[in-house]
Amino acid sequence: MKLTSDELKSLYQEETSRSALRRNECLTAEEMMRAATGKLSAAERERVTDHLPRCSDCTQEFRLAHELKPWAESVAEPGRSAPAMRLFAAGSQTGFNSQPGARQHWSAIFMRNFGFGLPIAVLFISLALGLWSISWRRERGRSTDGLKEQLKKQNETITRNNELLAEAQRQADEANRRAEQYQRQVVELNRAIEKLSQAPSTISGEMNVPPPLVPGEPNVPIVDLEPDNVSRGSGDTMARVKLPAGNHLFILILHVDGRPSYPGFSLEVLDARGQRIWKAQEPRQNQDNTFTVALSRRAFPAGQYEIELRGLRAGKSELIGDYKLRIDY
Amino acid sequence: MAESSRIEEIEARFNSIIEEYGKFLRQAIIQVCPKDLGLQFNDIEQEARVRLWRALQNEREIQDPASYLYKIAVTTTLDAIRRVKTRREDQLLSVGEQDEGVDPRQATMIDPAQTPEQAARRQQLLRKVKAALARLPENRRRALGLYLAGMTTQEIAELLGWTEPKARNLVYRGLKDLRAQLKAEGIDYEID
Repeated sequence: MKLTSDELKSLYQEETSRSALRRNECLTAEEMMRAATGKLSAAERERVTDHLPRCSDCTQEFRLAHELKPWAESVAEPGRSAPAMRLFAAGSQTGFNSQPGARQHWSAIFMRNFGFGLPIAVLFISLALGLWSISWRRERGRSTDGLKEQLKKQNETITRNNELLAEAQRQADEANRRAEQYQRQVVELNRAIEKLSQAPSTISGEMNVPPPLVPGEPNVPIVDLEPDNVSRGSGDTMARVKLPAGNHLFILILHVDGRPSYPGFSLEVLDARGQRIWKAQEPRQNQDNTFTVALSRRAFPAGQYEIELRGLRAGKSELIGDYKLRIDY
Repeated sequence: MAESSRIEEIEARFNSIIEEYGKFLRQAIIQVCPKDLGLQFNDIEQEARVRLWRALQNEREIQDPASYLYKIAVTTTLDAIRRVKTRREDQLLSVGEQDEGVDPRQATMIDPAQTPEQAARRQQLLRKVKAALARLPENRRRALGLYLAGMTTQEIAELLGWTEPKARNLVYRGLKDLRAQLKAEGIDYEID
């Protein structure tokens, strides 16, 4: 089998042509420009030189960009007009040069063919150029108007997109705010769950297991409580309840001043921070003008509590007695 | 008010650059743009002008307008070339995907004028060339790869930061190695 250099090149270039499967590995136009102008970093050069042998399309594009480099350099130089224009004119030679003797040569041709000399020809050409210049300026004006119109449309699209983006941003902020709110609620709930899970062990104390359900309990401590607003004696109205280890219940007898007369009563137990932790269902006044309530050790860990007894009438409540106590186990 | 005066200022700068370098921009596009892809120079030129306008609008400092226009001309043209090629390739791929069992990438490369035997021989040749290339030392493989992809030794030298004689030497040695390896495989490769 024979293979020429051109065949090998052609084979290689077809094999390494850009395909949809490798398109995303190709150099960007920006990278291509930097490669063509020799402005790559070491890492970029590594990537470029690694990629080009494997992609004949990128190589072709690199060559196109590279070929124009001398042109760009000549345009950028102070004395740029001559080389740049030489290059510019390279594709469309007019054949009208300024070599010595050329003027006479062209003049003779004009005289012979048209019957007038070079100055008249120059005059005609100047006129033609003037007309062409006016026409070109008009054309350019139209082109600028078209460009402005196109830019206007693009700006409108950009403005619309920005508005949509701003709206999306606002919605995202709102969603974030809600997410943070939910997060806080979850944290609070977790804390509450943790507290609840710790409560039984605290209440059951040393036993660390919930007390067994028993039909009755002997020797239940009974504590008389006087309302705080009618403290007598030393002024220290905090009642102390000390519960023996075997007891799970204790009974409080709440005394009140006078004989309050209300259609209904309410009784609430608050903790040391003033938060309600239990509300009794329809407490009733006893014959001896007291109220009784039995509390479970499990529900009330050691600490300071306040009991508020209120009379209810016509949708309003009035404080009858306020009782403070400390429970110790 | 301030906005309109700013637009006027941008317009003045834009017109001044186009006045001075407009011809060069167009000529650059014409030179870069392949003639066989059916690309419209006017469209590319218009797109390049839009890019220039945007750059001015974004208050980009253009210290060297000629280089900047060169960059715009090349990147705009390359983008246009890629768009056309991608479109064509996607059309071929969609045809290839309809034909079950044919690798879409292969489908784009198979010349319909080739007989199955020719295509098979070509694939075999390719495999051998690739295997031979893979066995070359790093620098020779890189230089030869770029050469076979279509670059001149001068371009290879500039890209890799070598001297031209070094690039030429490495390409020559790479070709020689390749020839020896292909000959061992029964392929007679002639170096020009």
